[in-house]
Amino acid sequence: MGLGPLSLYLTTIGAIALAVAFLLAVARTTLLALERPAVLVSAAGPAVTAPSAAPGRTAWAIAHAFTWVAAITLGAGLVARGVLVGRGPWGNMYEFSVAFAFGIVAGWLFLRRRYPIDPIAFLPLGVALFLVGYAATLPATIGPLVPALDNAPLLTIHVAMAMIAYGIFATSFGAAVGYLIQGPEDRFSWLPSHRVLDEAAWRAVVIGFPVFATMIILGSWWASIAWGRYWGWDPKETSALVTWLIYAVYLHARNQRGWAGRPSALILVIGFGAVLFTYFGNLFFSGLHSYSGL
Amino acid sequence: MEEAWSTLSVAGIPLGPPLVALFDALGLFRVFTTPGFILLLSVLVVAIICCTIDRTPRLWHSLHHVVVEQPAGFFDPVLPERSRLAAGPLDPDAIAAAFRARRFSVRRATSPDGSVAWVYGDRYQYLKLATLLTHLGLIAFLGAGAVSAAAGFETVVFVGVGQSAPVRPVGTPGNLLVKVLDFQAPRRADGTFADFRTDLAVYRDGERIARRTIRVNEPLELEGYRFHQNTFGPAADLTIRDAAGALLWTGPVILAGEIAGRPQGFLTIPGTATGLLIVIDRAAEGGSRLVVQGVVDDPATGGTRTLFQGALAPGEEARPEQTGGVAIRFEGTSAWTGMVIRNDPGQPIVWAAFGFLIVGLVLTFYFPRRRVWARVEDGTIALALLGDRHVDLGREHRAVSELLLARGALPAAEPLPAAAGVAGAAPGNGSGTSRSRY
Repeated sequence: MGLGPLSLYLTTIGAIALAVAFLLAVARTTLLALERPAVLVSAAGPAVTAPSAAPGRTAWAIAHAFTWVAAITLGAGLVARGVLVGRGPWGNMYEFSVAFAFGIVAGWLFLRRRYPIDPIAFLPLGVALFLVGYAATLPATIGPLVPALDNAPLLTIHVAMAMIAYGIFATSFGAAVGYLIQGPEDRFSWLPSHRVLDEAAWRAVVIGFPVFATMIILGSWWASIAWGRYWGWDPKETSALVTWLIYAVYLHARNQRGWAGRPSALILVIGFGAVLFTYFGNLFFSGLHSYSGL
Repeated sequence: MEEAWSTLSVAGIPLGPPLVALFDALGLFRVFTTPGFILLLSVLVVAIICCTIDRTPRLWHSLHHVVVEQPAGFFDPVLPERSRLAAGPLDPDAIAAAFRARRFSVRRATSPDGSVAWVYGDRYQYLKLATLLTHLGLIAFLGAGAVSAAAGFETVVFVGVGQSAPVRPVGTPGNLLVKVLDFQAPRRADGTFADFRTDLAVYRDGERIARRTIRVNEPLELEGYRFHQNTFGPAADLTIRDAAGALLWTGPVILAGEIAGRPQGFLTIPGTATGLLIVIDRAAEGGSRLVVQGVVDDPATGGTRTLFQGALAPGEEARPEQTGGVAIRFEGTSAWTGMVIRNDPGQPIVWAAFGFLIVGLVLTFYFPRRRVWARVEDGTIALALLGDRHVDLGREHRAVSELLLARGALPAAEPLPAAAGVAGAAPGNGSGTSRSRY
């Protein structure tokens, strides 16, 4: 089997695994949310309230396994495609959509090792599933790059940085949404505490922010080589800068009285909206980043 | 950008043109060069500078002034990241050695009566200053933009194969001249361009000082100038003679415009008042043909008047009596190449700015300051840790405690800090400690 079909099969398996993981994560969170304390009535006397075992534990264990399967197969599919094309496999919207989804899943798996945030798994996994679904609507054919993109080292590193940063920001988005639902008063026992969500979101941004900055800097360097200027207010450049500034505002705001908590979480939601706008923006705006292959 | 918006339609209703008109009236297509935007950028720079100046003394104070001798209340176990161990055989020297093993810089103090000893460890103490580097990077980046705008030079030249063009205006001392020796734009089987490259020579005072084939990702750098391959297009090779046979023009005419989807250009015939409007068209029998229209100014109308019009096949020549007294020969088609030539003194500043920015960010986020105090009294070690927001202080607390235990300390009544991370760090993991007064 050639690397091209292999990559396609692996990506398909990854997409299916991701779909299963997402559905199970939704099921598990739903079970957690619907849980009511079990009431035991003993023959001898009054009703006794006892905590039940964590519901959906099996569902989550399977979901977690499928998340790993998705990460491994999507990653392997990218590696196979990268070997085939001799560069980072993110030269068009199909390739980058798969890479973005992989980045989200990998970022999620990395952060959940340190933070007990499984009940919000369906949020980043849902975004990743949407992206592979979107990729499925795009042509997966391997074509040559336009001359402007013909810089394999910079293409590989510049876009890889975007993949890592975008991916990790998806988890900060999930944690921020969880925070907004949970509130500082910890309204729901089925969600992680607001402090855990806040810390996980913060950690994700602390990891992603310098990576995102590096992505912009490498893009600027590449622009100076290919287009003769390091900054040209191209729509994608501008959108990336605005996104970066939103996360910079978050980093400053989170430690400020009056901005910590809900306002900071809201900034993260807006920030991820900006990430998606930056990602999809070249479909709507002309500019020098119009390499979607569509 | 205007073109992208102009084609917008919803449910068959063309919304693009009125939107383009609206956006244009609001100046949105040129927003980044408007005075308002420049003013906002300037306000941003001033705000960053003011905030940095305001913050620096407090930052320095928090780094430089350290209180080693903390009172007993500072080690109260109800506070975050506090614990107690039985000293066992560990004396302050051994505790200091343990802290050093965790790469802390150590300072020590003893009470006047010798009953209490403090060991203080500080890791990445001064790296907190890296935040200044980050902000300096931002300011330098915006400053570089100002330098580029004020002192940078940029020109775009379209040059046909075999032609040359000056870089600066004619007459500029030491001016450079570029000459296109060759241009290639090979196509793939699907018709797309695989590459485009210009064989470029650069001259000064008639002497060639550089030659290189430039591509999109491979510019020529020379004496502060960068020559970037930017675009290309078709050209029509013409030879024009007057009625006596004297040569008026030979070489490519750049067809950088477009009429009805066909390449179009214009040439004023040297030494005459006649202009040639030229379009390359597809001949009915295949191949290309040159459609040429001769025009002159018409003072009566203030516009132009057509002298002649016709079409030529490659290698064909129009006689002077057909074309206003000049013989026009269409030699064939060739190409022109478009290059961006820049001299940007802001560029070194921007790379330095990026360096400051990224080094500052990496140091700030990945090497955050963390501090540990040990108060040794009555055979007990009281531990207290503080750290920046970026520190997983629970993990650090556990690592320090485990190291002390491994070196002979004994567990006290309080449990050790739970597993690293927020997951189990019940007493807190540094929340709210970054602005400690200690």
